[in-house]
Amino acid sequence: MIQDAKSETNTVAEEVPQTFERLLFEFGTRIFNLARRMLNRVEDAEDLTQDVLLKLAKKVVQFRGESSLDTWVYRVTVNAALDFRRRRARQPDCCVDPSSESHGKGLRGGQSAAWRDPQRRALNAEARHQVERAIHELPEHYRDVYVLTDVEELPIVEAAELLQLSVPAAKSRLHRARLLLRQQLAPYFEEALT
Amino acid sequence: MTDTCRAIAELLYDYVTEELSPDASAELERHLEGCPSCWQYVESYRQVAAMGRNLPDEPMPDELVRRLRSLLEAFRAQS
Repeated sequence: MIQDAKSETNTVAEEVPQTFERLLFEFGTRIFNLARRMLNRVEDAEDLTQDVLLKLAKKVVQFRGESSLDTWVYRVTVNAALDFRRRRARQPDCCVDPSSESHGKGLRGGQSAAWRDPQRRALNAEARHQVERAIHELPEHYRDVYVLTDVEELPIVEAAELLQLSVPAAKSRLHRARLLLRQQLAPYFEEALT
Repeated sequence: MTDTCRAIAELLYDYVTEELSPDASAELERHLEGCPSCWQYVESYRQVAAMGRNLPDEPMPDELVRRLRSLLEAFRAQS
């Protein structure tokens, strides 16, 4: 059915803010964290989050459901992050402070009981800091696969597709990432396992 | 350190994803039963594979949330 140009324009103009708001609340935090771990800079992750949400809001009218919405969000975010890295000149890794607690109130509330317990919170926060720091220090081609699979829990086949890798290459990079992380976190594991 | 100890690292991915052949898995497990350092190595590898999913998401920074809400209001004003 052919729609006249005015009604089509109004439909898109009305849908974009509604869609943007829904995407912001459903996916904003997840997009930000994926961007944060792939780009290693909070400022870049903030810019990318805004860009991705805008892109999704404008493109959602074209989304035909060939994949799940989650998969589509991941695809747009990963592609945007890879493009972002290619465009920007290499900068020293900085500005991601895994120990920072200064994010204030987030859109996602709620913490597990383990975090609310004062003593366990201190231990868990330290472990979290160590793990985030170790992930931050991974070479980016290893970090990408680790973040998508072991953090975001995507199947390796899907992660390989998003990163335009063969499955064996993705598995190899994931394995190397795990070995590097294990080496980096060895003193912590030795303490936990003895 | 035996040859099996040296080979453990390359078998780990397939072992923890249960893609190693039954014979190779059985041989590896026999070795782990008698090699505490390799057992610890394998357990720490498993923990690395598992720890990522336990990382909580950081909330979006307040400034980003403010920026996105402003954008949303600008959209609403235009539509």
